[in-house]
Amino acid sequence: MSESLLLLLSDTRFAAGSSPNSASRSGGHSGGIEAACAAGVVSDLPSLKAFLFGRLSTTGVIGAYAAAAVCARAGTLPDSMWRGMEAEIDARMSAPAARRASRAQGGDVFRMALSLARSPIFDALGRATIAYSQQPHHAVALGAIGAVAGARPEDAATAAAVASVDGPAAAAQQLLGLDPDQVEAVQAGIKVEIEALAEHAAAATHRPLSLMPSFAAPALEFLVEAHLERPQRVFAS
Amino acid sequence: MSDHSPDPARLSFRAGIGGEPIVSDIHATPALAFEPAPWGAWVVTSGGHPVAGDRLDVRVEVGVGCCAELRSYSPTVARSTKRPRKAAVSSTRTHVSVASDGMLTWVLEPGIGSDGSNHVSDSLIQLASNARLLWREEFLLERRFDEKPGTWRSRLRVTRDSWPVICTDLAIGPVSPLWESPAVLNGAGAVSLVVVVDPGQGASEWSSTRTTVGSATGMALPLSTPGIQLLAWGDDLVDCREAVERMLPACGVAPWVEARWHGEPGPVVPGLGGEDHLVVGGDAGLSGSGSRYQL
Repeated sequence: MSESLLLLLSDTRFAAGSSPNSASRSGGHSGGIEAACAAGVVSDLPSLKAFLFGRLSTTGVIGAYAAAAVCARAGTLPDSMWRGMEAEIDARMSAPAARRASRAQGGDVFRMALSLARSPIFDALGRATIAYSQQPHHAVALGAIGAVAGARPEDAATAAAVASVDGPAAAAQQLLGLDPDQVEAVQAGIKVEIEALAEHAAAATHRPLSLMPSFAAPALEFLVEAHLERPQRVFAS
Repeated sequence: MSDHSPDPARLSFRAGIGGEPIVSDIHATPALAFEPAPWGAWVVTSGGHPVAGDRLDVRVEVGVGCCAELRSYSPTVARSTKRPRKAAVSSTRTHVSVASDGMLTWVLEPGIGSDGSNHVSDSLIQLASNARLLWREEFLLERRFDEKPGTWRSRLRVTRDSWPVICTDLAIGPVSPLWESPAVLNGAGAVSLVVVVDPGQGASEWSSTRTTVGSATGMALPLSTPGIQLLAWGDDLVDCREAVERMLPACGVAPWVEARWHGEPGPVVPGLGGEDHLVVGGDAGLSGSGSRYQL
């Protein structure tokens, strides 16, 4: 994958990014950080680091494995397998708010991709999601874009893993007024974990979808659901 | 997995005339046995299992139109071993299938991770498209003063007509790197997980709910297919169970779920809606009094 595309997909100002001023139609997404800050769960750099590590190790892992699998198989996937991948991700996201946020981000990214290129892979993804009045999950959209761009599965996995932590980190920096240099240092520390995760995800693309990791994040899901009831929100999720 | 016991504990039910469970196959192992009851069976675990190195295998089949319950008398305590050549991990693999028009209630007592144990509970439940399920899985860490806690990992996958309903993986205890994460379980010592699958209910009938009881935090989350997950975690299993009980009426589950949760035995014929469920056997049905499901 060209590094520029990876950078574009991971940019918080890009569609599905965390910035409230991003190109996203669904609003910026903080990945539960806004609710975590409001609840006092994240209040400083150490608590942000612990939260991001938990997020990467749960939703980030699922997204990375899904993106890598889609990227590796997109050219050969029958329509039923696209539906199967969407269903596998749904089954791993118990919180309705998390599923909606993932699909909103996926829809934003997919829409942007459709405006840039046409591909039978995009057509197949559209038949499996938009034809059912759904938008694709974020990780599935990233994997499909990676496949169309000729990316390696580990690059798609990296994009999904980076998206799971960089957006929330930027949101926390904005909400808590943290030192940007120190937040970047936290993110740099997590990048080592992301590289290892992407390698593992790329090595597992031949395995059945049902065997993808399914690490749950109950506290995160609780916060994501609670966020919807907040009267004043900076971020959509 | 091929490294599991070649001789699993087995239990199969077929439906009687009114859907009551009739045992058609039963096989015990030294670690686990079944004791048939009018409403299903008691699961009886050996006090000495699972211990590190054990690989237990359990298979349960619920036949077409059959309504069965599985309950247990006592918790399952996972233990470590001092034998140096023994594997550190113990595991229980449970494979359950529920056929068309069937219903399964699985409410076993909790699993306990004791004394530096490392246990993995791996459950696969395969449902027919119109089968119903109430599944409760609870686990906690032993809290004896001078003992280091064990680790209990629970992986649960439920499919309906071969499509995934829920696939989740939770662990408590020091072996899990995620246990203390504020995004995961924040170091909770007990978890109560309940999954309900009920194709008779529409998506609009389920609702998200959250609660706190003592040390426990709980939430009910409607799944993307007809079903809901109720999950509570905290320092005390009593609080967790109380949190789940509080959420049950608020999250939109059908009356049969609450009845089963509160231990009212007796199979119910699926396919009949709401208060018109029919008790066809079991203690509550035979007593002829006090059941709100009787016609």
